[in-house]
Amino acid sequence: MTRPAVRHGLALAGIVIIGLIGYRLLTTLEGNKGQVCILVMLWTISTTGLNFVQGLAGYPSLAQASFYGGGAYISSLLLQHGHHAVVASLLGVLLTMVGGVLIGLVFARTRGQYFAIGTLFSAAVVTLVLTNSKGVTNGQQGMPVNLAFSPSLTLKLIAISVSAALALFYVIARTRFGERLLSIREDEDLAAHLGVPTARIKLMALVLSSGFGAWAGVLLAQRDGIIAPSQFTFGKGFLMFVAIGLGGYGRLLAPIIGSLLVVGLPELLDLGPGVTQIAVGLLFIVITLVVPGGIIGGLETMGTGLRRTFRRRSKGRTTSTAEALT
Amino acid sequence: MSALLETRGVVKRFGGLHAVDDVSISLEKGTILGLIGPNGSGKTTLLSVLAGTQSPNAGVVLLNGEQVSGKGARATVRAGIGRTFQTTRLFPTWTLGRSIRLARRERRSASTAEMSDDDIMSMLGLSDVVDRPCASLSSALQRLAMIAAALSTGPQVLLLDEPAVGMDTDEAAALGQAIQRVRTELDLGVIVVDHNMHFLMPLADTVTVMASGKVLTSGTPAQVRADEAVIASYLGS
Repeated sequence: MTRPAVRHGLALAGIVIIGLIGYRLLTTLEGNKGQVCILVMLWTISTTGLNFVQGLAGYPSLAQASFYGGGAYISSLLLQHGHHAVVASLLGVLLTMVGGVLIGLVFARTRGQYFAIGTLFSAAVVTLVLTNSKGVTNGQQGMPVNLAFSPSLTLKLIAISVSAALALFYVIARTRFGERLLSIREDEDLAAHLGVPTARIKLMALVLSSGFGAWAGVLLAQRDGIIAPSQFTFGKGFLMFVAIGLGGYGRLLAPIIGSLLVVGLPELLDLGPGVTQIAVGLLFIVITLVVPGGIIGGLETMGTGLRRTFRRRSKGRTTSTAEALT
Repeated sequence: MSALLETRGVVKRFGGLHAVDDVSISLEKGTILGLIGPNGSGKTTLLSVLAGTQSPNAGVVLLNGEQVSGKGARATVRAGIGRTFQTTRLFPTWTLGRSIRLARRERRSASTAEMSDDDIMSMLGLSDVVDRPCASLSSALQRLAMIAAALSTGPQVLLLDEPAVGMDTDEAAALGQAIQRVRTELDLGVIVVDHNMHFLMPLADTVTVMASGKVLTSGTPAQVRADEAVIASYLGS
């Protein structure tokens, strides 16, 4: 086998192992820790979608929590109306992706802060609709969900979906589409002048991210049995954005690291009301200042530095030996 | 026979400012047109209109008699107009080779400028740095790398915005030779904007002078050098 084939094989094996570890944790952790584990895994699926737009293309989308909510609400409403679980889930994802197309058509031609503002307002609109359509969604009180999957199947689906989402990201990031997204992150104007259809690629990335978010939402609804608008506010969308930034833009494992930090850490730290948030906020500031490329980016830089030092030292040793021999 | 590239009455306004005001120029295949003028005369704006970076408020840009203006950067580059930028623009963390492979994959299959990546690199003296990140290249090499990236789109027309900026005399001379070779071997039409007359005048077949968004005069380098209006407004004695 060639070296890239070995590398890809190892990466995909690692992704499978992550899913297996996740499943093990889902089935063994109980209480608050179990709930946090589920949330981290669901956020990992959702933010892996966000990693296409924000990570690879460098576009700050703040609408990811809306897609997450879209999948949860649409699938739950369809189940309520007697649709089959598979149909409800698929339509939950597909209809949310249609929403992604609409947001993308409007905002894919905007740049930087305008894109962020546009997606932020889209998210605000979704939250307002969910909160105020009391006849359909039961408003802020939340909506009970018909459980179509057994609890054990839901856990299996969550674990499989984490692996599948990461594997899809790994593969897609290495396609021509992934390369085009990266070129947009590097310099969008130059990419357009080299022939990259930048607006179409950004639209496709946003639609793809909406699909990942929606599927995570479907699973959340099935796991919790009740959903409420407060789970999908634009504040949550902002935290998903923060998760990718802290994990490391465009890095495969950024969604896991980011979700652990943003969702897991505040729950598990438990320093008392208020204090936890301040501590976590300070930690985020430190991470941003010390490793602007996120945790994974920082680790990569550290690894490169160590490799260079090691190479320099071994070269020095070789030279000394050569000098000694001559 | 129509010109390779032609503009007819192109106007580009920014608010009340007429950055380009009723400009008509033409470029023949295999020729180099030098575009000169004082700062703010509209040279770069005209180049941006030609490249599809900006749409004109009036007038048209024709490539081989077909309108290309107002269609955006991607459509324009795929039609056959490649450009470089005044400030260095490369994918900083990518190698030059990777950038060029991306551009080559994006181009239309039927392109007139057929030259392998290796040939482009060797013609521009970039073969040794093709695997280095663009950000690590010297300023002069980055200017050449921008030309290589533009060439890899398979253009019929190459627009170079101040390609010699930041180069010393020897580097500018080498760049001039490289541009001549590109023009000859690919039979391209080339428009070069530059303030360095020692670089531009020996290179250009024709020169167009712009002032306040309008074409002041056009002609051979010798004619332009002798033009009193150009001497008064730009070249000086």
